[in-house]
Amino acid sequence: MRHVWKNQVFLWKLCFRTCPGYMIYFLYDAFRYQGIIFLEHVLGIRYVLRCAEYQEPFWKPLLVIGIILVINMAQIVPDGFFIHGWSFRAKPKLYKALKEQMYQKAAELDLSCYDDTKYYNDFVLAVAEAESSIDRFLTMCNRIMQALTILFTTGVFYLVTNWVGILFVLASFVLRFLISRVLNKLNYRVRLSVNPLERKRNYVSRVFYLNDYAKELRLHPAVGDQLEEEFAEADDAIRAEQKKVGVKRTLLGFARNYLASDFIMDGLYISYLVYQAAVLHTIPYSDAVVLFNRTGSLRRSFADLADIFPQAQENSLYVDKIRAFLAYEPKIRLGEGTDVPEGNGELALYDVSFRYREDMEDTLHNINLTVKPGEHIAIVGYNGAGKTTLIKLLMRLYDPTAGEIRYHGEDIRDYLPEKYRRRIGVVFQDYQMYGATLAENVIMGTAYTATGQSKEERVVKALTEAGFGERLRTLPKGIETQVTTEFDREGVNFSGGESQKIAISRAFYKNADILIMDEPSSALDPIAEYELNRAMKRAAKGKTVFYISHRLSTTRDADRILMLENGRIVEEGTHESLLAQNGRYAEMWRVQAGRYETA
Amino acid sequence: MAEKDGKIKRSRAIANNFYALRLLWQICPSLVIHQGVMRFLGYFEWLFYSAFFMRHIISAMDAGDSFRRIMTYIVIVVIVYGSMTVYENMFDGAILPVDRTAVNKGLYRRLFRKSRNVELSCFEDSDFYDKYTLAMEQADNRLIGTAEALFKTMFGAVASVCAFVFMYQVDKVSVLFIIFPVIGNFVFNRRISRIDYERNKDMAPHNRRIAYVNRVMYLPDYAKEIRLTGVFKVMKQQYKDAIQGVSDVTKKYTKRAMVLHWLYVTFTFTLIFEGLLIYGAYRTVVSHSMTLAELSVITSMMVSTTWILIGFTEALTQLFRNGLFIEYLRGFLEYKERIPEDSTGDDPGTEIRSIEFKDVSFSYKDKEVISHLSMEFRGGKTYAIVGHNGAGKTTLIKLLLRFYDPTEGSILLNGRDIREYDLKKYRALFATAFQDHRMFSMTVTDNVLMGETVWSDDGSGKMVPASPEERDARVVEALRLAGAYDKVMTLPKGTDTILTHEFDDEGAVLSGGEFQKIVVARAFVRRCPFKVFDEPSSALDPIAEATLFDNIYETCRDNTLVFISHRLSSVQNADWVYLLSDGTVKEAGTHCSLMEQGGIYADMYEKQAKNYLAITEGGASA
Repeated sequence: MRHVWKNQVFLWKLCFRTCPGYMIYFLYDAFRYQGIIFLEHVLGIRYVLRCAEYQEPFWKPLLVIGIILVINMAQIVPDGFFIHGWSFRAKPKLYKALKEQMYQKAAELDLSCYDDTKYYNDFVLAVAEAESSIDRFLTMCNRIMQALTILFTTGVFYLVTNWVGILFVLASFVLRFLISRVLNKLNYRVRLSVNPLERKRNYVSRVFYLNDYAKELRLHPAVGDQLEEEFAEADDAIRAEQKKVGVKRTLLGFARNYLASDFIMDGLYISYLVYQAAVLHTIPYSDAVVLFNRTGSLRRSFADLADIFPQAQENSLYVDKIRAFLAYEPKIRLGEGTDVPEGNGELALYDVSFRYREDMEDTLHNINLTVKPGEHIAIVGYNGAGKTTLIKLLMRLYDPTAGEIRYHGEDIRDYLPEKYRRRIGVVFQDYQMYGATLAENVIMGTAYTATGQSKEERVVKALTEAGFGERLRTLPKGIETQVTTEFDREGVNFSGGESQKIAISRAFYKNADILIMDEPSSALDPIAEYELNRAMKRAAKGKTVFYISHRLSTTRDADRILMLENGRIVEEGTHESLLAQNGRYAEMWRVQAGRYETA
Repeated sequence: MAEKDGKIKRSRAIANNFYALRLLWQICPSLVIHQGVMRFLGYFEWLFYSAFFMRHIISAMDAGDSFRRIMTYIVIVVIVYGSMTVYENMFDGAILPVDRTAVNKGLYRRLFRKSRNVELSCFEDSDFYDKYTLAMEQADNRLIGTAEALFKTMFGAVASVCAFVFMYQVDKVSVLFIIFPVIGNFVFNRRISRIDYERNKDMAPHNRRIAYVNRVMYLPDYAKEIRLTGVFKVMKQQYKDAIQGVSDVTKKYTKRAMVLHWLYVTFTFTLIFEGLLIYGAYRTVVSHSMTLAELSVITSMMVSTTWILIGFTEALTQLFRNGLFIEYLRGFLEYKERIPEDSTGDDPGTEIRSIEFKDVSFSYKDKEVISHLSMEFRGGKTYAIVGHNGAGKTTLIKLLLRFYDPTEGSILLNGRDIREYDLKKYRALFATAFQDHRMFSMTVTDNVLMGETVWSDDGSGKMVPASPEERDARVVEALRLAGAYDKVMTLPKGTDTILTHEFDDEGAVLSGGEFQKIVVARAFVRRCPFKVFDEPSSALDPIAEATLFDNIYETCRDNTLVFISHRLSSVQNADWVYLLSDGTVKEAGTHCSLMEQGGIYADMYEKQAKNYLAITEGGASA
């Protein structure tokens, strides 16, 4: 309960700090809305009816309604601004206030969080629900304010005019509330049993409508039949579930919507009013009409107030996820640590072991390795040998479970992570292109340091060095070309080979000390691969390089080749020495190279 | 489709609504009837309570009727209304939830059938695909919603007229006040809607940008780069710019919208309410030509008439909006397939003597991908297709499988155009492993078999469905050949492990290389005369790659085999090599003859082999 309250306070503070004026007007707006209705439909109508009943002079209703008219016309003016101007601008700001915090956190999050499915699902949910949790909160504030306004206006009106009406309204409210609870429980049960079936249904329809599966379904029509069958079965099961509760739900619905509501109001209360007005003459007809007309909104305000807690509770669940996410303390913390010494230094691993999760086995065992500045290291091995894991540790995306990695003689955990990572240029196989200009795709937010060359010149130079120069000349907008057609129809979707080159130019631009390349060429044709390798050789000059590849032809010139197997370095040396050793590497080499030999 | 830029003609929109009603009627007629009755009852009650109920009671009281008589009236109303409510709650509680499922089942069956039957290029055409996804999304609920809006419009119009008539009956002049909400709704509100529409359109690029930043920030694909580069700054800036963009767009429309909003509210609510009240007061107090009962009925009629009118305009807007959605749905369901998946024709038999491409050209979105290509695959031989990325290799395979038909030229199987054969039977001649593989949320075994029956020789040469044991053995064999078996056996339930996390949190998510192997196993398990492998080894380590190619050659000795590969060492053993460039065959021959020719292939091969060969020479001398 307190917890739910705290979450609402969290949201209120967030919103109020971001747009204080808007939030105050937002509350006022709910009050204004119900206030005007009360003024017009209760006070105004009652006054006119009264005047008619007691034959008051005409100027009186004229004056009162005239005033209401003027108030009404005046209050619409800011209302228009609120709806058509303020809200459109304030809401994105409110969302941004929350989401920017979340993005910041997402950028700092340990990469291991992405491997933890449960954590990652919570994270996605938190991001997805950020906007709607604010929306829900605002809706709730609005409803509270409206309900309170009704309660204070119409409620007081009842008390003054004829308080017995409140009893009818209360009775109806309590009954409705009780029946609703039973009905909600029933619906919840149905939803629980239907949910997995709906998940199944959604999955099947996704398979049928995503283009990813279209080819598969055409090649294997039998799978389509099977899925169609499953879909129909899920539907039949849902139908059966719904049918089972049909009668019960009808009765409960009838009890709630009729017996507890219309019957009490349109049957009992009206009889009471007629009796009072026509037989006892204790209520004037005009009051009877207005009292009767207002029962609905009075009851709704009770119901809204009663609904607030469950709503707050539901929203609170999402806010919990958001706050838990924001409160997460990354193990690798940005902004903490010392500067990295100037220049390239020695990189050394001492007895490094690593496991992804506590309950898993080690992926890397006792790795010892010293790499001199400017040395070129190739890492080879079978799929799953731990090659990619090793370089992830070098980039400090993870910290070792045991042992330490040193750069310039210091544990890399002592450095500012962002400064340390700045020293590393990376080319992955799964690099991404961003919906931004080509220049931005090369610079990637790297801070510009004056080197006698302008930013633009450096971008062009980096692209040229990466072998993209020729293509760049064919682009009318040059480095200002929009990459991807995501936002710009004029945008360019570069081919796999071209995108690879752009990815490499990032490393050139960054001018890092350490260059890490993880299978950059596996999807390329031989010519493109050849060109890429030449570009990478240029990029590698004078840098410490780690290169992972299944194409042993590209790794043989390395200063040192590490053969990894089951998370251990099993062989280490130059190409020649490893061949002479005639071990694992030699075997792999012969399998791949031997096939070319026969030519 | 008759739609352009998200707009269609009004007549078409209305016709579409009736199309939707017809469609719903075919799938679930009872729902249509119930929806109509519900809507009718709703408006009936509304009018009754605002126009008659109170009026009758007050008149009766005014006339000094006995309490008993008034009570009798109330009791009758309570009973009649109560029985109507029973029906309404039955609709909400029992009829609708059940019928909704029936609609889902019936509608999606049609949609699935259609989506399975249209040619593959539909999925690759982004215009078609966007509309198709819009049509599929929540189609069942939206179809029901469309019928609902249609009834709302129809009965709303009738109710509006009735409301006018009732007001006219009570007081001839009062009906004139209705002109205010009519103007408010049809003049000013329409303009506001247009502004909303324009504003939305202007905001869309900014909102797309916001959604994009959001995606980049949470998808794991981007996580590594966000940490290693400063791209987060770029994204933050984009977010900021987009918010500014939204604000600028808003400002552009604010003033106009404010004026219209003021006019709308003033006309729709304020003028009619206040005007009628003053008018009513005048009639009762000054000219004494209106009773209290009439005055009170006018006050409640003015409110309900206004809301009925608003409801009617909203339903009308909804009707046109639905018209557009139905256009997508209808466009898809009425789409005429160019290569229907169920197209019938002659039985191609089970033997492939030859498949011949004769001067085949193929254009994709006006861009020629394959141009005047001729080649032949002879039964039982092995073919390699090589070439640059984008040379048209995969398109060629798609033409071979008849995912597309050539724009020009023809493809012949055993001398006859493949368009003359029964498509399903034709495609059954092939087993294919594509690069962009997908896993289904099923067991490993099912992912290999893909729902197909395994046939086995019963000893007398007759093919019968294999026993479960034999079936499993065949799956295991295929997994072994693909090099996936050892990995699969480390999974908790072996070949019965469910793949993907979709339904089973215990489900296995394998690495890209492992998935690739399972896709290759699909091609191994299938007994058919022609096998196609599209870059089966791109993610594999050297040993796994070498073994895989050995297995492919080994098991496909009796088949016609075609494979695409960038690893030219694997190409050497092929009987014949086709080199594709710019969508046509530039070189063809055996590996040796192509090397002698010294063309593109030789250049490619040498570039790839250089480093291996150089060292082998060195190794030999060592």
